Amino acid sequence: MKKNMGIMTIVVLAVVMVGIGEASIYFANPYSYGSDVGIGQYSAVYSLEAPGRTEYNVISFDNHGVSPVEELIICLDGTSFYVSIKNELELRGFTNVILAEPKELTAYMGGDASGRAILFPSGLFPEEVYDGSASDPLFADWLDEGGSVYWFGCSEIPDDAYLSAFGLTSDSFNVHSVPESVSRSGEICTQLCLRSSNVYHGLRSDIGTPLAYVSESGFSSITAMRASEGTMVVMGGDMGDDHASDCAQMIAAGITYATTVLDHAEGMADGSASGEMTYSASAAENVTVYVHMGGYYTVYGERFGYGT
Amino acid sequence: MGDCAEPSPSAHVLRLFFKRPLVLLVMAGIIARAVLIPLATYNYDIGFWATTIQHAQSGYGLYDLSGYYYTPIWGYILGSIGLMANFLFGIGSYGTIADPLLPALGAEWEYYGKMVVSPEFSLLVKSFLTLVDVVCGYLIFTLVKKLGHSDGKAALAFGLWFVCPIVIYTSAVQATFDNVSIMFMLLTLILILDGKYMTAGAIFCLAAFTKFFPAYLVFIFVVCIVRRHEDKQMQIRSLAYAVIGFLVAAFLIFLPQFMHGTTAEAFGFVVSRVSKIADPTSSMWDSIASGGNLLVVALQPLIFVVELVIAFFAYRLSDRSFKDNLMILLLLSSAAVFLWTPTPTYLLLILPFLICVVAAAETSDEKRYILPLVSIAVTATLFAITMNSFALFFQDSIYHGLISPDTILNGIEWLDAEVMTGVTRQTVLNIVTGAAVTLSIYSVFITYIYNHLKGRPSEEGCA
Repeated sequence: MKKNMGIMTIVVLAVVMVGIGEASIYFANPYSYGSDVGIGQYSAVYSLEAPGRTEYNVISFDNHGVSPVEELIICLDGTSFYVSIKNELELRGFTNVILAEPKELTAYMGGDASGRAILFPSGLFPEEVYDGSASDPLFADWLDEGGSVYWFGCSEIPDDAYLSAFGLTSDSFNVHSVPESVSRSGEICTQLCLRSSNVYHGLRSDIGTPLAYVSESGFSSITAMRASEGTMVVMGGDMGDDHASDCAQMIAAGITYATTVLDHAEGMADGSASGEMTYSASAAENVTVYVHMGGYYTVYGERFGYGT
Repeated sequence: MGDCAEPSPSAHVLRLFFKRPLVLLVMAGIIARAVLIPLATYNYDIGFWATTIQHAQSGYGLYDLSGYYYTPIWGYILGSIGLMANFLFGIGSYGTIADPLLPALGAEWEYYGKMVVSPEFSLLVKSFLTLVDVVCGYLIFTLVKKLGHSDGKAALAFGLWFVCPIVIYTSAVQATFDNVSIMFMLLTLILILDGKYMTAGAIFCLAAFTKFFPAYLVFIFVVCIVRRHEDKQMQIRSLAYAVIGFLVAAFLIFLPQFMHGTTAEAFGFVVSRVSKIADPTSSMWDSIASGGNLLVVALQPLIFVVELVIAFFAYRLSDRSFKDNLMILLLLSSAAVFLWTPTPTYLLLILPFLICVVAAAETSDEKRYILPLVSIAVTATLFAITMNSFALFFQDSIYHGLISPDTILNGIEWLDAEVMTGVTRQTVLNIVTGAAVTLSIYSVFITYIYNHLKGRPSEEGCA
C-alpha cells in the first residue's frame, strides 16, 4: 500500500505539473506587461509594468525625418513562416499587418507609400511586382513614394542587372555558406537585442548600415539601406528562429535607414520601473521610443511616437 | 591487561557509512551534481528551453512562434518551470549573447551557439531535472522490489542509476529532458504490473509524447498487460482500459493544438530530422550527419520487426520464464531502438533495464551485463563531452569570469583544425566516440547472444 501511495503521488504530481503548465500557457496566462511613455522635445518619461522581475530596455531613436513603418504588407510565399513573423510583431504591439498573395500586391502599392513596407520572406521578388529589370517602374514607384522593402532573400540574384536599380550587384552579396566569425555592428544591435548572426546572402558591410552582426569577411547579417525615398532591409541567413524575431523587433521599433540611437535605459523591472531619458534630437517629431522587455527573450514590445 | 579501547564516535560513524554502499553512491551522485550544475552548462539545448518559456510568457503558446520543435509535454513542464522562475524565484534574465565568444561561430562545428543562459536559469532547470533523476531512481528501486528482489539489490539499482555518468551529465550539464520521458516510461511499467491499466495508458501517452523512444516499447508493454491475465476477456478489457487512458490523455494534451491549428507543428521534430537528410552539406560532419539521418529512417522497419519479434517471443514464454526474463526482454527492446548511433543522452532509455539486470544479477550470465552497462555509461559520456567540448565553459567565462574567452577560443580553434583535407579534429573525435557508443549498444546483443550460445540461458535466476 505504501509503495502504491508513492507511485500514485508521483503520478499525481507529474500530471499536476503538466496540467498547470498547459493551463498557464493556453487557458489562463498569468503574465501581463504594460508601458507608457511621454515624449517631449528634449526628454522622454517612461513607466513599465511586469508580472515579476523582468529585464527591460527603453530606447529613444531619431529617424531624421524618415517615417517608420506603420503598415506592413507580408507577401505570402507558400510557406507558413509569415505566421511567426505576424505573431512576433503582434507581441511587440505592431498589429497593422496585411497578408497578400503576390498578385494582390499591386492593389496595395498605389498612392502614398510613406510609412508602409512590404515584406518578402524568401526567394526572389515575385514577378507580379518586379520583373528584374531596372526599367520596371512598379517597385521604383513604391520606393520613390517612401515605401520600404524587407527582404529575407535567401537566394542568389540571377544576374547583376537584377538589383542594379538599387546599386546592388552579385558581388554585393555573400554567396558562401561557410560558418563565419562575427561581431556586433553597433548600438542598435545591442539595444534591440538582435540575434541574427548568419551572413550568408547578407550584403557587404560597406553598403548601407549594418544593424546586427558583421563578419570578418566583411558581410552583414542585417542591413538597412536607402532606396530612393524608402528603406530596403536585407536579412542574410535562412528562415531561422532568429529571423522572425529580429525582423519584428526592427519593424516594431521603427528602424529606418536613417535611424540613430539618442539614448537608452535598461535594467530589471521588479513589478514596475520608471525613468527619464534626455536627448538632443534633430526634431521632436522625429523621436520614437521603443520599449521591450525580456532582453534576448523578448516577451513584450511597444513603440511610442512624439505626441503620444 | 589494559581495557579494550572503544572506537571514537567519528570512527564509528565512518565505519557505518562505509558499510552502507548506497549512502556512498547517493553522496557521490549529489556531490557530482553539486559540482557540475554551476560549473558546466551546455547552452545549446537549454537556450531553447528559455525561448520556450519566453513564448509561454508572451502569451503565444508553444508553436505560434518559432523555436520549440518537440511534442507539447516538455513544453507544458517548461511552462510550470517558467511560473516558478518568474513568480517564485524572481529570475529576471534568462540569458545573453556571448559577445567575446562570437568568433566561435566561425568554427565548422555549428553547435557552439551564441546564447548563454544565466546561471540562475540553468540552476532552476537542472535542479528540476535532478529531482527527476531521484524520482527515476526511486522507480527503479520499486521495479526491482516488485520483481521479487531484495531491498539491497533494489538499493543498489537506485545507486547505480544515480551515479551513472551519462545520467548525471544529461541532467546536470546538458540539461536535456530525456529522464522525464524515462520517468513516465518507468511509471507506465509499474502501473501495468500493479494492474492500473487506464492510468498506465495515460502515463504511457505522456512518455511517448515527451520523447518518442518509449513508444517503441508499446509491443512489449502490451504483452505485459496480456500476460497478467489468463482469461481472454480480461486481456481485452485490460488493453481497452489502457487504450482509453492513452486516448483521453492524448486528447487533453493536444487539445490546445487542435484549437489553435498547430498540431502539425507539434511533430516538427520528426519532420525536421527527416528533412535534414536532403540538406546541402558544407562539411564532412554534415555529410556524416545527413547519412546518419538517412540510416535512422532506413532502419525503422527493421527496428519495428525486432520489437515485434521480441514481443512475440515474450508472449510465448512460460509464466515463470516470462517473469524471470522480463528485464532482459525490456533491455533488448530498448536497445533495439538504437541500432543507429544516437545522441548520447537518448541512451537513458536503455539504462533502467540494464541497471535492473546488473543489480539483481546472481548468475555469471547476468553479471556479464556489467560490461555493456559500464561501456554505455562511459562511451556515452565521452561522446557527449566530445560534441559539447568547450561550449561547456561559455557560462563560466561570460557570467563568472572563471575562464578567459581566449582559452576557450584557442581550444575551439584546436578542435577545428584539419587533420586531413576536409576532416577536422572535432570530426575525428566525433566519429571515434560515436563508433564506441554504437559498439556499446551492440554489446547488449552480443552479451545476450554469447550467453545463449554458451548454452547457459540468460533466463536463469533473474528472480
